Amino acid sequence: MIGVMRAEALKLRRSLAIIVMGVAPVMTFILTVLIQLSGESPGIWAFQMMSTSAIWAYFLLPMTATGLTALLAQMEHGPGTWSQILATPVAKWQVFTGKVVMALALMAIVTALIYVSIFASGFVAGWINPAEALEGSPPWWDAAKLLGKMYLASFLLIAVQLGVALRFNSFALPVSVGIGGTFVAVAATSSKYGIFFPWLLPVNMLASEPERAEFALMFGGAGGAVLLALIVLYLSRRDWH
Amino acid sequence: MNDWVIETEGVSRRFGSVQAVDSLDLHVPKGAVAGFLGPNGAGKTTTIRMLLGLIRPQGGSIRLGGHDIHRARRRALTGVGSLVETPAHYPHLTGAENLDIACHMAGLPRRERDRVLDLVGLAGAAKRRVKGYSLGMRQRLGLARALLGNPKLLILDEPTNGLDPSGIHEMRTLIREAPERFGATVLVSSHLLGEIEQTANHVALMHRGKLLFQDTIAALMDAHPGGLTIRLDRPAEALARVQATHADAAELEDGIRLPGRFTAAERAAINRDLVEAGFAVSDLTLVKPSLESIFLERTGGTGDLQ
Repeated sequence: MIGVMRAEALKLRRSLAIIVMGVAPVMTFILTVLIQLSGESPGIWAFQMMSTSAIWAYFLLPMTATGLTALLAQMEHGPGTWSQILATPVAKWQVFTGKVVMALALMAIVTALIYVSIFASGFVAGWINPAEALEGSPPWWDAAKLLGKMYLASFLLIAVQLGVALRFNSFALPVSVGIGGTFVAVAATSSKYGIFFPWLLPVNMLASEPERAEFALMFGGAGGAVLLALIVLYLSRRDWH
Repeated sequence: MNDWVIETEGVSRRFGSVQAVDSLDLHVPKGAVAGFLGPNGAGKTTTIRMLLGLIRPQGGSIRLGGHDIHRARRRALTGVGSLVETPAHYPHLTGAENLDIACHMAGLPRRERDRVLDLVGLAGAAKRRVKGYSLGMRQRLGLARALLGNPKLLILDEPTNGLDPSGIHEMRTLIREAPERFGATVLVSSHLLGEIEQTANHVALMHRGKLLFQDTIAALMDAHPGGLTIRLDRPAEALARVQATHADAAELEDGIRLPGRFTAAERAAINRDLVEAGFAVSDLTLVKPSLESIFLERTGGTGDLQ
């Protein structure tokens, strides 16, 4: 399995996935710096954390998951390398588990960069204009907990996107699913069934009712883990033409 | 205990209404270079995909090196190098990095990568990105990957596709010498009969999903001995004369054809008989059968090959 992961890591070299990983953190950084400098921000760290996390959970997390999973799958679909990889003595489940681990690892890295972006944007804006510096102490631990929960709750969304991307030899299909899911999520926010919608689960970490957030965390995290296992099982057993 | 490196029993696979492979009993002995021949759509690639465990057969069993491909997939595929259809690589990576990926997955050291790059003549281009490679270079890189780890069985699907004449020559040499140089058995598929004639010592002919013949090329040739073509005047009369001793003789536009094997003495006797009977014999040609003529004969002339 270590060899499979080393191979997966090597495939990322010079790939678009590296650029895609930087898009969301850079966008949130620029956006929050500009908001803070505009003077329209409440000027407190808690707001900085919540607003950046909301943008991340609503739009950028699902879109990043869509882009990264589609790129990971297209790395094999595009040149047609599945036949080469799956004709080796490496167990098929290990090949697909490698993709799952890599997708989760890349999303974890982007989440960590978003964490950095929350604080970097606050400090940079305060350095550019000290009058707009944020008040209070930075919520290091609260931000880590919130983003960590969002990450776990996004497992189901990542599983759906990765499953579609690996199963179908198409870039357009997983991207359409991702865009569709993200926009439907906005409309489904107020629905009582929205709690079951994979693209909304990370957003529910911001819910004021703790039980809603707790359910979304369990459903997204555990549901995602189960679905990822089923995807690995299914892909390992299907024919590869 | 036999010495089959590839052994299939009653393997079948259907796609919708098309029976791609039908009750295939394929046997490739150890140390053979087996040509897997058939026109496009004969079922060669489907068979190869089933041999490599990429597609499950709907019936029958497949054993590689004595191990069932589905019950003991990892053991069956250990020591198998393959090149399936068009060479597939990661275009954003260099040739060396592409092989590094295969080495990581197989747990092979980096020197193995360098060895196979030398073997296929790509050492000089190893640090170039594959997206800048020609089709021939990609094919060589695919072969290099197949050769990683000194495989005991090489399964190559149309390996000369895209190669220039010198590349084709090198590939043929490599395939032909694989048993001696690497101790490998080779199954090489092609729709080019001349290709197989020059590289293989065994042959399996496939047509419309069925195996028509498998054995050594020598055995195939023995079963199709060719014949003697005689150019002369009045072929109809000559035919009537020779049919007394060669009932299966046939008339040609400018002569007659006698199927079978003929020694020099027999050829001389036939010639003398015809000349003494007053025929103007202008030419006697011993016709050796080609794989193509045998294939067309076996498929009833429907196995069009390119």
